[in-house]
Amino acid sequence: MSFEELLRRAKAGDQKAQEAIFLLYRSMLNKHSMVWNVFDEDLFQELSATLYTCIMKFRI
Amino acid sequence: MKEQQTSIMHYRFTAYLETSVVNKRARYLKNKNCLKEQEYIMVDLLDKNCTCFDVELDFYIREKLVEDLEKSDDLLKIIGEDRLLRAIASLKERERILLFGRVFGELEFSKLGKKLTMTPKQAEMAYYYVIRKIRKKLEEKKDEF
Repeated sequence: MSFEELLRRAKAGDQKAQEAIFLLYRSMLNKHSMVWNVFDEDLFQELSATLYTCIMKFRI
Repeated sequence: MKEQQTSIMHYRFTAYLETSVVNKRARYLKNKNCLKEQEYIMVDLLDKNCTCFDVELDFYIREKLVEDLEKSDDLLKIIGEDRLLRAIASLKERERILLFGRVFGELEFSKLGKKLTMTPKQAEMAYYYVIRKIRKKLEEKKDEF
């Protein structure tokens, strides 16, 4: 499945597609969740919510 | 052609997400730091508002003592404890000056030695002798009960 298709499905509310995108970008979220070399779980949660918002707001 | 479009969209989405994530992170850290600062301010305010009576008493005693070490009789009135008071009252004047000078005046042994015309080592020995003496007297009183 192409990324465009995945994104369309995720936007439509397909949980599996959303999960796939999340897995795709998880490493990036992990990287940005490090504060002073310590993993900040609250920040990770905030960034995960941001990913969801981005999926919904992104114009294809 | 379609593949190229998909990959462009992938890049666009990644860039969009990256920007959002960086902004969100900056805002989160700023809020967190603000909250921490507020907590510190609150703690400071609490510290300033409350009066610690032990510290106040300590200051009072120190001020009294540093003014004049000879007025050690006044200090006996400040120290409330009965047994300790009696033990200190039974000390000689010289020993009392040594003890109060060291404990409340926080003087060095060399200064105390000069005051009492002794060498610093002698002053140190005399001080520990006084402490032992007081401890012995306190223990005697305990045994009586």
